[in-house]
Amino acid sequence: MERWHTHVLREKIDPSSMLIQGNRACALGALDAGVRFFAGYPITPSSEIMEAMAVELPKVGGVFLQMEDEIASICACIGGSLAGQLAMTATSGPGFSLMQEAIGYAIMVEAPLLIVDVMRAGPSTGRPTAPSQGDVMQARWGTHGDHPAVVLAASNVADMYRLTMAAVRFAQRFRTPVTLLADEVVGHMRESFAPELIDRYRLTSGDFDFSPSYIHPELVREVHPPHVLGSEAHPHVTGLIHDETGFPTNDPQKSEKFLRELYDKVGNHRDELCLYDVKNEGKGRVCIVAYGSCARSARAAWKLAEKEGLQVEVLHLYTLFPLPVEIIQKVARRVEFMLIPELNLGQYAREVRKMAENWTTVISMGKIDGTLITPREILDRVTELVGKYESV
Amino acid sequence: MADVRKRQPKVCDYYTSEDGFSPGVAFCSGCVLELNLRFISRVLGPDIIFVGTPSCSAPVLHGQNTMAWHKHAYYACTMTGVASSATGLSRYYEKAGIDATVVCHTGDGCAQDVGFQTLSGAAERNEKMIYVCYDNEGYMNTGIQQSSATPFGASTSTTPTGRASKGKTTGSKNMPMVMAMHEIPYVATATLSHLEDYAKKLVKAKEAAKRGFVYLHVFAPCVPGWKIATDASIQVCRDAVKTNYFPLWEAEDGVFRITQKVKDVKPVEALTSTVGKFKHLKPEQVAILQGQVDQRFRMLQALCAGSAAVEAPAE
Repeated sequence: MERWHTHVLREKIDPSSMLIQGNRACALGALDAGVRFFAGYPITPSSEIMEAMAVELPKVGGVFLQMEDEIASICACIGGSLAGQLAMTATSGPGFSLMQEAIGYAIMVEAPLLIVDVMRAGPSTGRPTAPSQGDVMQARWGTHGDHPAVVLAASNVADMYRLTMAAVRFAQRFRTPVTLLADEVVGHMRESFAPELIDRYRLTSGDFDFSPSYIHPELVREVHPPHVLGSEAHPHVTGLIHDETGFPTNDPQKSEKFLRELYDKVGNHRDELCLYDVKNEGKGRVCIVAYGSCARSARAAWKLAEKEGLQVEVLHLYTLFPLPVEIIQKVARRVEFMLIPELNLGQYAREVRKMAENWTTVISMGKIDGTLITPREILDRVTELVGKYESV
Repeated sequence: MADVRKRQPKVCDYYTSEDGFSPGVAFCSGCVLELNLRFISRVLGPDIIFVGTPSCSAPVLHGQNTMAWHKHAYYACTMTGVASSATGLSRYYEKAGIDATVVCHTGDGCAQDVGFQTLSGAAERNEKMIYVCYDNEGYMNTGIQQSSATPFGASTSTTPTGRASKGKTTGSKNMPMVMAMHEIPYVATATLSHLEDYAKKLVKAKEAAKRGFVYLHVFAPCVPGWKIATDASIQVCRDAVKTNYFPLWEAEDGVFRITQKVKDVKPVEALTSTVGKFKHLKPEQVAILQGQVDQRFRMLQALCAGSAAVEAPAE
């Protein structure tokens, strides 16, 4: 407890609650998780993460770098990561687009990285200070080729802290880049953030081992042994398809084996990677599936509905990819409708539809005007659905 | 007619058109960028196409004001691709015989960091355009982060000052010189305290842009970023010239010339003591900055002498 809140300010603070910005909570989470390497480039609305790292990292002997662009930022992170230091960068949509080639490289060379994307309304420059969830599919399929992706989504300030920790842990365990998505409003919002809350919901056991060649004993059969540059082994690291020696191969069998192993090390651990929260379990005909800022509206809609005598279920997803197939299908079997409010034109709803359409009707509720979806809007849609199909 | 003294041209003599910007543009109070844009617009005339990016000048050029606007064509492109986006325009204009001047207008972060690759490429291809970099020594629009134009010792939000960090540890990139080494037709530095000098350079730039790439580096202090008073920005520009921190020079087809020779050069402390971002500097840090300023100026003098230019008479 003492360990992390001492980062905030040097003076004594009331540990029961503190007012803190989402971006800053993310930086604190990363520091507590042991991140000691940050390379970034300023971009609204994520710059505060970098600014916090610029202040905090020198104090703990870490490496802080401001690079000349986002391509340089992520490449510096891959370099730091291959030298054995888990690295982090933070950006927003346009910068995330620039990073995509290097993210593919990081997946290929299995460099553990944390990429925080504080999403703003796009495409292009879009609206830099308007919230959006438009980067969801970019986080999944932004880089070319078949590849695994681990993508988390934060919905409040506490999430920014604990999901950052979770993301660091996943990156380190599975030796792959992990993307943490936050809506602009989550990054910029200030709210009280109680340490007890963190302890209660702590997702990480804190058993980090940052020694460069470490692989958790449970995963030695699945995760390829890392090649640490600077070790005595003189390893070879390449973005070409390679075998376990690190050298390129054109052998069809070895190529397929390698790529499948990349996929499987993530896909086979969905139970660990998929974080979610089910509220009002098994009650009501409608389930609201939501993530990010919309999940807060969904939770509020559930409370509002309860007051008005209507039951709705809420599935709050913290992990978007790998797809939480099991929980989606489990919920889909028991509800008539799945309503997916999101700040895009149904990017994640399409994924849910693929998983759930055999059992339920998936309804997308997109909004792209740069404002949040309100609980009342969600509830109105739910009431409409329930009323419309009452006689069916 | 020997008794009639030749009238010295005034700044307004260089104006070829009305100011293309309406009143009420959304710059910070005391920002020199407003003067810079209006000045470019008046001197270069109405047939210019601005190419810019998300930056401090974006609120005005992009038209994010509520009521204020401008009459120029404007192409807001990506940070990475300013010079290459402008290349598309200038190549087409050339082909189609359209007489228009393409003016890229970006900050130091775009020119020197994220957009440098395309800038260098366009200079190497000698594209026919003017590239104006207004140098406020940092990413001011996103919240005062350092850029490669931030000088040694300066305090920014990513080079903070405190126990473990003492401001920026490296010097700034000598960008006008980098561009001069691209051997393009015209490179010049300018600032808003020396408008006549700036005007002459813009006129030359417009001519030179018919032959190839032109780079203008404009020193533009930032009121909130540098922690200076709103009425001090022009004085800071003047101090930067007087201390040789930002010497005014041009390189025309490889011939270097100092356009404002300073007679009594002040120590760089005359500048740093008035600017908030340098307030924390210790004498030894100021000495390092002074050393960098002197070294750069000696190199400039050597280039002027070496390229056989005739220097302007002392001010």
